[in-house]
Amino acid sequence: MDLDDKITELTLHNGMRWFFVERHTAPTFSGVIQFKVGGVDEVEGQTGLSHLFEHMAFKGTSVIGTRDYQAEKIILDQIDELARQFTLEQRKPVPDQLLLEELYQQLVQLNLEHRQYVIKDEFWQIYNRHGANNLNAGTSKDTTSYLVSLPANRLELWCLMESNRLADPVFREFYSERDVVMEERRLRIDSNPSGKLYEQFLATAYTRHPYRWPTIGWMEDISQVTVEQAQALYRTYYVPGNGVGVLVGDFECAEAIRLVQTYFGQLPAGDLPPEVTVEEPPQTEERRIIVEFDAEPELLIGYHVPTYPHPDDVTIDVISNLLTNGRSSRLYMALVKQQEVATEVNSFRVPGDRYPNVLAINVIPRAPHSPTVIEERVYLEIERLKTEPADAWELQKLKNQLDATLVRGLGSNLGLASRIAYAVHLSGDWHYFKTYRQRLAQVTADEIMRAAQTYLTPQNRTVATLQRPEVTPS
Amino acid sequence: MNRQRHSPTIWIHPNELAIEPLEWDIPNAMRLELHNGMIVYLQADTELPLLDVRAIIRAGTVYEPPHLTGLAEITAETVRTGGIASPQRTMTSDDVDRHIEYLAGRLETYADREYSLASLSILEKDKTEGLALLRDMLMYPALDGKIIEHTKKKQIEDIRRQNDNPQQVAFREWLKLVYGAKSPWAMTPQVETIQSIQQTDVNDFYQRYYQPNNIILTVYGAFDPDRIEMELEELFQAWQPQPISFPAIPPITSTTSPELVVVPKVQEQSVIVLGHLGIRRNSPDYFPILVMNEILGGGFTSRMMREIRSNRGLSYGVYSRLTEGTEAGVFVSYCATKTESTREAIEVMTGIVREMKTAPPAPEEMELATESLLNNFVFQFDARSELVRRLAGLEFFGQPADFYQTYRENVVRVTAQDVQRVAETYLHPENLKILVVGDAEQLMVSLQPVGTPRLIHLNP
Repeated sequence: MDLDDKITELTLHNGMRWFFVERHTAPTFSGVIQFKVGGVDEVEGQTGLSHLFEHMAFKGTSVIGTRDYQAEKIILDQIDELARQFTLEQRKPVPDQLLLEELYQQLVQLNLEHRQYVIKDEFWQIYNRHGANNLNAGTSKDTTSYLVSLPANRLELWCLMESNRLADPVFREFYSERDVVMEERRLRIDSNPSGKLYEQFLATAYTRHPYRWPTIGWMEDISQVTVEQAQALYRTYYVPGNGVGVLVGDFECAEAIRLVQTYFGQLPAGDLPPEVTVEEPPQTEERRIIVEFDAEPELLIGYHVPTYPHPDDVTIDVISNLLTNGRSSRLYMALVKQQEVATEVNSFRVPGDRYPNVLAINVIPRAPHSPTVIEERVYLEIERLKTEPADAWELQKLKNQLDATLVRGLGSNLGLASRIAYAVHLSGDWHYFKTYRQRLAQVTADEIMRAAQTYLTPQNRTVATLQRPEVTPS
Repeated sequence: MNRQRHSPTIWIHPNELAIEPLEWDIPNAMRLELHNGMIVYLQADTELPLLDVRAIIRAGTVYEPPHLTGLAEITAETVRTGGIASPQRTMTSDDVDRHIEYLAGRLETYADREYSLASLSILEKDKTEGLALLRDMLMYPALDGKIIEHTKKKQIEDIRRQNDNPQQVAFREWLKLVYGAKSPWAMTPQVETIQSIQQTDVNDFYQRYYQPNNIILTVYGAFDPDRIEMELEELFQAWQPQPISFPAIPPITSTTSPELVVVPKVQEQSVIVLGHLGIRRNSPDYFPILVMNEILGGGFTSRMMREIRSNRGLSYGVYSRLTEGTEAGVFVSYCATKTESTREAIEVMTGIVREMKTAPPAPEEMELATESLLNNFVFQFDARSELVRRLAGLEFFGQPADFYQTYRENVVRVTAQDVQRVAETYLHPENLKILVVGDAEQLMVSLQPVGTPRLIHLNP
């Protein structure tokens, strides 16, 4: 099955790009709306804003989630004004605690009054009632996606729900949702050793570029984010020209196009948002960080590398696969099977793909072997990449695996829709899959050696180690 | 309705949208039994050039001798990675890995509580070789002693790391409270039990349970439906059935009395798990329970989610489940919240459980729960590979074969009174086992209104 014959492309007059794949295997479809906005588009002091907006996009509109929007709006404005005063006071060097307490009590009171106008979580209710599956959203450093699968007879419902929340999101229950996001951060990062290590690793590998902060944001920023900031992000980045919609599943393409034009065609066009202009200065010496956590040790080693459309992009992927993809990969064979110094080894490109990123190698050591010993073993394999050409068998294995991955990727409506959206954001074109396969097939053993020599150097390296805090004898 | 009327400024409410009914049938699969007693579920699908095969083997951790916990997992792992010694070929561990990965196939095994599972995914063009590898792995594993030692080292490292993740700690320790620390339904491997496992133990466990008459095989994807039965008979013809005896699983002897336990871990967020024993499989109340839990803590619009996440902002996620088990499942509810709001979260969760018993749910709640279950049902078979897996699951656990055929009528039949009745029967808020992983110093004080917590210290 070839995607070429299956994808129908459409650009609405407001600039939003759409892709349709008919697949009549089950009476369901999946829809993905993806906007090119994520952690990388934020600024210092407002980190986590795009993720918080994603949460707010489930809070309804002036039609969904309210009993009387006109009346509700008056209270919402009062809440926002009080919250603004509260944050202003809170940010003063010496806040007036009595005033803060008074404002807080007024906020509690107004929130209770507000509740009478709210139909709790009606956006979720409607989707649930209609049998939604995998209803979710995700924010990354590069993009924000809204995903759901529905029974085939709910295509128009999907168009209405999604276009309505893009056109008219209402920021109700903003402050309790901010608390929810703070709990999400405690769960994913502050109580999770690997999450903490990864966060500190990126903050060390990058010094200037916004890839340096976590997508969920720093706790201090989340705790002070305001409705105005979220609205500004919405106005700047949620313009149709910055978004992609993909539908995959059981529908007639002509009907889907008609519905998409009717509903999403209503969104007013706007100027495209700015690209990130900050550049990460070239790294000139190795950076190291030790992250203390009450957990067993873990190691992350990373190198700055270029991304698409740089010709070395795919060569780096080949290197990553040679090192850790599968039990017959080089680092798995060396560290896990032969030397038995580790139980797991993985590698990946982080934290995004829109801007130059990092090839990271993650190792779980096996006691009593220390991360330091393992680091040296990893470097031995990296040196081999620079001096010994990869053999033909290894390269053919990678091509076989990529081909199979592309086939397997066609088996899930939601997976396929997400990948099409991401390819379009990354390269402007869903043919990215196909050209990627062609480019991978052309990578030579010499190019691998040259890329390893260029990028996998000590001065381009960041090493983060997780270890238990030193216990001081009492 | 006239769809053209939408103008740029007027949005209709989604409830006003007319929706055509969805007509569809549950897809069919074929069941057959090979001469050696292996049960096979088949569904052909030629959309993609892929074949997907799974062998469910009744060889779970509950059958391990208590002094050898970890044996089922080590056996499963060594069957996969310990090489092949068949009458036709000998392959080392590395040979197998290199071969299957060159074919871009996936060959994996693992052990669960009641079964072990072996799976193969392979491109259609390599299916003969893929099936031969799966067969050789299951029938002629070399169970190389060096690989067994390697696998043991990996398991011991995993045990060293088992307290790093607070969620994992909370569920593991809570299961011990509910089933009893020595129960096979709660036990986990220890360093000593892993160290005790010898090659003969792995051989014995393998010989005893990895037999054709102890396997349900599912085959999905690109195959020829007219030839598959013959091909499978041929593939497994040398594998003769053996009588299999299962050890008696000790009955659950835990108490039903309430408990409040704190497991110390220095962090800003508490992980709360609470609940008690659940029900036996094939309960006549399965469907009322399903609807009841949907309302209580099943989805994003449940009572727990609404109050704890949406209204109070106390947690990113909260849920409840009432599960079936061979002897008993569990009623469990989970939430993670900052240390200061731990008591509030526990009180709200238990309060919501109590309310479930005192009154029947409102008509809107019943409507939302049943509509959502009915309309979501189609997704049980959305991925077509799911069908054979689900049917095999029904047979494995002795559930009625028409479970899915009658699912929707059974959901429709549930009334608000049924929901209140099953809540009264199966929820016991007065006997909750509550376990909290978190900052013990603060929790020992702040949880006093709930009860005086007992501290459980984890092994260092």
